[in-house]
Amino acid sequence: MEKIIQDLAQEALDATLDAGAAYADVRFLRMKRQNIQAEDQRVSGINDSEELGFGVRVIDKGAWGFAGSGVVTKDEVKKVARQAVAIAKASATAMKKPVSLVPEPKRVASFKTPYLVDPFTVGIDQKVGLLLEINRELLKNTGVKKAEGFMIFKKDERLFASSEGSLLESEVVTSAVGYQATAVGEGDAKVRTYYPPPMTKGYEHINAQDLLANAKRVADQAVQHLHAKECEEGKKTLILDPQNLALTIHESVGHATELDRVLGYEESLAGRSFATPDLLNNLEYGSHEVSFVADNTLAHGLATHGFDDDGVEGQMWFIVNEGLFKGYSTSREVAGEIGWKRSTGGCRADHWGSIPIVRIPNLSLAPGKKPMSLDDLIHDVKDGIFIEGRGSFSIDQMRCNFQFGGNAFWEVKDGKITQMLKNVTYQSMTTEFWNSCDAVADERFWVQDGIMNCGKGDPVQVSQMTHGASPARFRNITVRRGRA
Amino acid sequence: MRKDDAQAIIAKALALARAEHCEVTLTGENSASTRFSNNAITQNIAKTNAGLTVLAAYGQTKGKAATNDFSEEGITSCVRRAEEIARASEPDTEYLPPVSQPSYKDVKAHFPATEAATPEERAGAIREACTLCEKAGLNLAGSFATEAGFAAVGNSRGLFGFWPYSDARYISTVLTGDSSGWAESVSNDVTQVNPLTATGIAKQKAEAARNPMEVKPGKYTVILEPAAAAEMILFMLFSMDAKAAHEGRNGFAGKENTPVASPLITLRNQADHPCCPGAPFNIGNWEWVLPVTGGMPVPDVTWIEKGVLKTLMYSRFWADKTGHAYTGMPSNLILLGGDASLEELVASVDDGLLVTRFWYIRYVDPMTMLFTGMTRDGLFRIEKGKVTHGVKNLRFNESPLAMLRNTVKVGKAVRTGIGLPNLTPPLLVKDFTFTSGTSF
Repeated sequence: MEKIIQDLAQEALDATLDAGAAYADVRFLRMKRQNIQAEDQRVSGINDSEELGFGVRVIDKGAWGFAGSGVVTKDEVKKVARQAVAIAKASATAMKKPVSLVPEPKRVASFKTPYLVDPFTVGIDQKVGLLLEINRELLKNTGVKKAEGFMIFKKDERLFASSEGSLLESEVVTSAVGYQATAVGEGDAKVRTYYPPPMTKGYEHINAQDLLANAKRVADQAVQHLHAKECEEGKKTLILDPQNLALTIHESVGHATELDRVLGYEESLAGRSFATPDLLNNLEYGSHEVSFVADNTLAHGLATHGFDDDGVEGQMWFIVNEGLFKGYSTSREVAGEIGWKRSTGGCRADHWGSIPIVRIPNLSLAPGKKPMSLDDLIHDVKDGIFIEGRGSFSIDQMRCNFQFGGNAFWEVKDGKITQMLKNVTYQSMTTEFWNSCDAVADERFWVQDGIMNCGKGDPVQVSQMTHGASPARFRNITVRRGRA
Repeated sequence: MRKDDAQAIIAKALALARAEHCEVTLTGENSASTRFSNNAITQNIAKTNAGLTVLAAYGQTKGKAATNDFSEEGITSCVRRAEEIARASEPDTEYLPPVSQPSYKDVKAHFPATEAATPEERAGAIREACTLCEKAGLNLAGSFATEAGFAAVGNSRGLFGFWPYSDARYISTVLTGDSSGWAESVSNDVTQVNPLTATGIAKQKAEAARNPMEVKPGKYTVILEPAAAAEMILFMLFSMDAKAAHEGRNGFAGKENTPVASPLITLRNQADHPCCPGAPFNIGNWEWVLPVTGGMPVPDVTWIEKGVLKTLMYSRFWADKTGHAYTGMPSNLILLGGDASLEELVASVDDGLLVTRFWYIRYVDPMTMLFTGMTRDGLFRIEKGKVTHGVKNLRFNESPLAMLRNTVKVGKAVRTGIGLPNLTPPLLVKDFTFTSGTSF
């Protein structure tokens, strides 16, 4: 960021220390966003925004204070810095124990998403033209009554400076595109989606050829879905594709292993977790086939930002290794509460005006170690369902009981896909579910999908992270008809 | 920001505009939130921000740009960006030009005490609540948030609107070792928010829910407390777009002017309702639910009257196309209540469940409006007119329309902090469907 921003950051730090803070960091963030939506043959939404602001976070008298402002002037920076200290002093009056941050080496560094084409330099006409062309392709199927597409582009330029001497800069670019076709029949409507995994990449991520090549299949399957057989309820074998698994991983593993919620910090909004520290290295979270790897250094990962908003560099570690519960996502504050010497670097804010909180890292189901294809997974199923894409999702506040849907459901009988199904939901308890996994396809089938709208915190913040997976198989799962 | 300042910024943007049509929205906030858990403050924040959004249109081709830079250069850049986008884009055939100045309701929603609330005052209230719980060996979590802000709109036809507001909400969850209870206190005026009373209710619920029993999933007579009912209604609102219904894409298809609920159910909105004021005009913050034209006044609408669905939500375009009255998206919701207290509702149930609130409601099937979600922070068994025991939480798979059809009694409506400003009564509902249980 510009030299003047660096100077303002120093002004903020100086003002907090003058006001008595024991620790301070300041984070400037310039956020660019572009969202484009097309419905049938019209451009239904086209929004472009840019904002700059800063947040000052301090510890004074052992307590946190945070203040942020979108007015970027020297006077405002000083005022807001002093405001953050005053807030910390108020916090200290209702404090149990002083905040303590585990150590992190100070560093001066920068990180930039590797990208070829800045999406904000690509013409609107090109983007809109592609979305309308996709919709035209979808609407060629007369059974499709609604075609909808979107593009989302983000660019975050960040400067983080701390009283410990760290000075970190980053530029993270994210690109996402997707579309859906809706087929409408008598008293029913079914949607088929095509959402290529979002990534921290530039406009080169928008693969027009691939998007157009899938349009006919998506339109045909929307109509097929409408006329599909109703699902039969009962215990079944499920084969879940990587995009369906992304959400299951997110809800039942990602949120469950955020250490702040485990310790009760998130109780008032998103809840807590069953995965308490006494279960580390003891709980069989899943079967031996199941390993969850957290990796905030993953190339093009949605949570690959170089370092978090505690100034902790990106790392890779196990959350679950061969079934055994091994780790958490942490901040510098909560890591110390369970005796850890270093944070895993999961403390992120969604906005300059938001305080950083513990977030899910890039968290992926490791591919199976034995050669195993999707066909191999299906081959060994007598009565099951292969589920693609995302649908309904809900989980309790301790991250135990969940219910998910999907976007396309395929009946599997005697080792073969026989026909499409509709109105399928599956329900399980987290550890029962992951322990029922008896096979994961190998790395050839691994897909790096992700979540763009993870809500957490109070006030709610929206974050993004990658969840990769290969297709996996789960035995004896409760399937219910998802229709009133 | 004062009205004059907002008007000057909007005028500046409009003066710079070269497009055929221009709409400008300006919003701003001073917000603060103190969050606590384990009987101590854990997060304490304040934020000051404002944002300018410019929509430029040439014919039906539009572009929208936003900034928080109010310098001459920042505003100019924002206007030009909106125009460039509009020039490069393709038409939105549902776009309609800006409207001329309508009259707006005078909605009083701004209270100086809320704007002046300090971190020390919030901390003081939280200290008191934490002490109450700590003395009882209980664990308190929650947040106390205050916000003062404004929304302003203007357009190239001379329209201008300005609406200041404030909000305050205290939420509390009290935990024992094996149970929890929840309560909130909400008002636009922070002096009307009572943290200690809310904490007391949450504490009483948590203590009453200790040693929860398991019940089998199935159909139950339930009393849905206001927070639970309000969340179901909010999610139902997301399906009330008339265009989607007329195109056969949501669960209200073919249901206008038909009975959809018990005759006890009347749902309406009224922006200037003194107990839950809503914005007098649209600013576009719920655009993902229904397309809006900035500055359109929010009309009073009765959505469901004595069980009959009187209207769905009509955007300006869809109202014009169908010849139907414009409704837009409501800015508050009032589900008419009765006289019965919660205790009187409980006394009328022989065998059922009392639900404090729901968690993680999501659509399962938009066409039948089947929702799923969990109970949370206070599920109780009712036997012979009395709350007798805490119950482990349950997952439901149920439609809000089935909930409203099977409503046999309504209690007194209260303000809740769920979604839009709302007044919602507790509902006594038969045959509410729970499908699975959980471990706590």
